[in-house]
Amino acid sequence: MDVPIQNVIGTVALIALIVGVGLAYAMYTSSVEADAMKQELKQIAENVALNIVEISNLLNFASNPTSNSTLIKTLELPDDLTGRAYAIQILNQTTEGNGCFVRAFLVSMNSTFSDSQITINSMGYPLELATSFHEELDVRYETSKVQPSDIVYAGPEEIYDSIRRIVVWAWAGSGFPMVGIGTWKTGG
Amino acid sequence: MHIYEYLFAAILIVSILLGSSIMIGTLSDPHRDISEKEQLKETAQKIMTQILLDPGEPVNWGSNISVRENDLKAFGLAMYGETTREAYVLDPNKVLRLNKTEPSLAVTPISVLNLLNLGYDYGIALEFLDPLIVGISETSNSDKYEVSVSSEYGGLPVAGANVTARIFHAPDLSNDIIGTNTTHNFTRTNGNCTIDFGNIESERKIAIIAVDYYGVRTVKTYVREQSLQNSKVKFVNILGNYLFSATMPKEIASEIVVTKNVVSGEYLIRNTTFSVDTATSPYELNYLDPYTLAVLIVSHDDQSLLVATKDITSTYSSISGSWSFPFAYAIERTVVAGGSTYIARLHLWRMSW
Repeated sequence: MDVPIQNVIGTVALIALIVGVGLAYAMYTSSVEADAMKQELKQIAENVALNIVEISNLLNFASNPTSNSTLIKTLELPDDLTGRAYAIQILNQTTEGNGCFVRAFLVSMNSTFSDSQITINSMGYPLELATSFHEELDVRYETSKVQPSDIVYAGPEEIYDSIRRIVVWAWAGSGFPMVGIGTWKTGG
Repeated sequence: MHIYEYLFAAILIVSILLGSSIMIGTLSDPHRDISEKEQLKETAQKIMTQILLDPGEPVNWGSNISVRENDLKAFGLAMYGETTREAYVLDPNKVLRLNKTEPSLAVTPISVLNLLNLGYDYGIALEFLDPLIVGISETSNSDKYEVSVSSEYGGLPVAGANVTARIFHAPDLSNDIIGTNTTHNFTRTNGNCTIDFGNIESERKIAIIAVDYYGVRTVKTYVREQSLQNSKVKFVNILGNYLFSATMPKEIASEIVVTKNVVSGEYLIRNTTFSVDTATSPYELNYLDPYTLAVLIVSHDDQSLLVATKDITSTYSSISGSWSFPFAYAIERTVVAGGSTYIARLHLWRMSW
């Protein structure tokens, strides 16, 4: 049976259009999803930054410079973002002129991130953000310790331990007071 | 198939793509709006916490006039104490440095935004309001005043507010500042009451009116219009222990402090005198009580009464001259400064998206 050439061209063009439309739709929906993810990440970053500012001010009221004091606050954050793991990082880019901020990003796609500024913008400010190693912190009446870190992860239960809680902490002792984030495995 | 049928199929496919894209966009918009408002709320809380609970760095930047805005390392308005610290107690000198001071000592909004690490992303406006709106009017040529007290919320009259008042005046041909007897009254159901001091001859006088309503205290100063018109009373600036005046003052100043008797609950409006170093401007007071409400001093040049108050009611905005913030998220806290209660209200809006 002979098939007219215009039918062949038309069918091929239609198939190409369907594939193209499918791809365009997938790209558009993924950009909308990334945008929604960024909003979620921004809210997480804002919440962590707010808690860092609050705990550092609380330390000002509660601390006694002659003895070590540690304050810890557990954060109520989502376990994951629609099944995806995310990370929270504290960055100090004061020397680059960007100040200190909290960054929340998707572990699988770290180009999808959101930042929230911490309202401390000076190298001369008498408070240090723990963006590097810091020894474990004791928790009163608990045997388990808080593990400070500049970056913490949250995600599906099968990947990350759900008993582990993300915390913000503040510590005052000899030298500058410090604030940071970390993880604490409860029930110790 | 005919060519038109292919074209129709293509148009249909493209239409389905466009329709679904528009629908997805429309569905995600409300969620985005809510999320953005929620972010603005958290950012506002973060900024408010920093402004009201942190003393800033250097901690005495309000009263230390050698500290200029470029010397600030952190911004905060909280009162700093070596031994005791109270939450939401502000240093009036720090608030006065925002916009009620000499231009060379003012801290500009752009500096504040940079110190808060906000850059050009956000705009802020900070309002300090009296929780009780106190209106004072002259009822006659004598020193009889009608005081009205209403709520900041809706302007409803406040009945039963305790009103305490005292007039301080410099009698003619004298440099001394004399206080009248303290007068008390309670507002009636319409929120008004009358305070009568009789007739004080001097035009160089000022009324101090303290209003207390269940522990919420507002203190106002009142100068008769005639005294201002005749330049018998002039307002000058004060910051820390320093008086900023274009005319040289006399060597003795009266400092007005409002205190409450914890046993009787009665208010006292006291004045104490201290010496002033008049050798160099700004003129330094040798002592200033932290709760001083106002400083009164007679001018050496024209004998006028110079008045410096620590009333912090003001609006400080990153947009100059703007008094309305329709797209902003507002958050407020009750604070205490210099013993008086204020409402601190922060308006925050995005400058970029």
